[in-house]
Amino acid sequence: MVAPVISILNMKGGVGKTTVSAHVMRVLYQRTQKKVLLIDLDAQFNLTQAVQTQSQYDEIVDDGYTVMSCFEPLPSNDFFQIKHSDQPPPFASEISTRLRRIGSGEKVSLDLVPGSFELVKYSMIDDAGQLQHASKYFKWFISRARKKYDLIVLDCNPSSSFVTKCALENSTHVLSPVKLDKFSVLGVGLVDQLFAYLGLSPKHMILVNGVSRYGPISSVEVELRAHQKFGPNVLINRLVHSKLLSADPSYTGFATDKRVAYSGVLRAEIGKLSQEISDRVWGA
Amino acid sequence: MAKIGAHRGLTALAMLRLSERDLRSFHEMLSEMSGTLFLEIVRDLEDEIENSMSLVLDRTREQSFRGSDFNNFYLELDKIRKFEFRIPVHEFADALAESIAQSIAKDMSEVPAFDSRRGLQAWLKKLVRRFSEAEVYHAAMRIRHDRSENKGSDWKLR
Repeated sequence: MVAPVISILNMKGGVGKTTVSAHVMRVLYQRTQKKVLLIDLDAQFNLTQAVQTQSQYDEIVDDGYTVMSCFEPLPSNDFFQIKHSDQPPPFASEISTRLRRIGSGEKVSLDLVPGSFELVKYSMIDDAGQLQHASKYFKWFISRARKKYDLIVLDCNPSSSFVTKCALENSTHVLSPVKLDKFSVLGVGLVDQLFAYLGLSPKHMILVNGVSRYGPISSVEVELRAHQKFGPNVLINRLVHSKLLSADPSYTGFATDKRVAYSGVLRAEIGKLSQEISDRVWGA
Repeated sequence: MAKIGAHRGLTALAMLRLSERDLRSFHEMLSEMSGTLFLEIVRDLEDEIENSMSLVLDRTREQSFRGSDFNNFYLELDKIRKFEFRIPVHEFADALAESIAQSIAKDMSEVPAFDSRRGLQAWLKKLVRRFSEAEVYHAAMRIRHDRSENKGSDWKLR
């Protein structure tokens, strides 16, 4: 069976897409004991910065093992040209960085295809023919990766760019984190509109993020959960606000791996959430 | 510092009570191994142990403190009933059944009938066999939203 592909996307920024891609997926991989591949599709590459140190990233760039290899054969020296080839793209295992593993990592691992600021080149190029090459190459890369992994997670940029289009065209599911403010909730509707424009119908999950653990449920959340179309897509479990999940300048790695107070509580809460996500993806 | 570490390593080895033959073969293996390779092997093993242990601990913690997922789901809905709607169980069941019939099921006949002798928990169990927990929760939120005096956002999600 080929692996499902989840795009993490909301058209509004700052809603926790990277938090979900990194910290929720880290727990999901461990609890479900699956082989999970994270792909950083955001030119800001915050997912990569969250889990890899700068010196590790420098080595990755020197080796050319970034997400750019998923779109065109490398090296590509021209910022306004996309290289193309009939040769297959690399296997994910050839360009990914192993973040975690259980046993030998053959069956259970968490791997990352690191991001790159160079992704912005696909927003600069307006030649449809050239972009078509990159789109096909990415599709080929994903279809090969789907045979080797149990789950692929695409951390997307909050824009309707070429790269986001590529992500959605290859996704079976979309997970939209929302913060309970008016713009973030409206962003979920825009994601759905984008599906319609592209003629796609991935399964949509919505995750309420950044709420207080003990506070009462807000009217915005009730309105979202009661919504005729989106309400049933909202995950029951929420991602509560935690200092551990905010970017700490002096810590690089997974929030749940920090050996500090409450990291166990956070791991257990994210565990329940990751169980709900995996039930929706693979069935209970 | 390094001496203390090495001594602890040897102590850990001693605690395994390996046979002389195993100890000799371990020594032989180490002498043929580069320092880098030895470090890599130990670090990989550390990760493996940590992963397995935290998996076991997480599961144990959830089982002992949190109960089953369904139980949490029932408790959450019952809390909404008691503290927000402030209505008796049968009234809540009627409202929930109607909300499900309107939003998810095609008609009321698809919704299992509430049996007051068996209680809310048993009925919710039946409901989640027919509909998903997310759908039932959505139906409860519709009741909550309808009862709210808040006029909602100016910009509606469409």
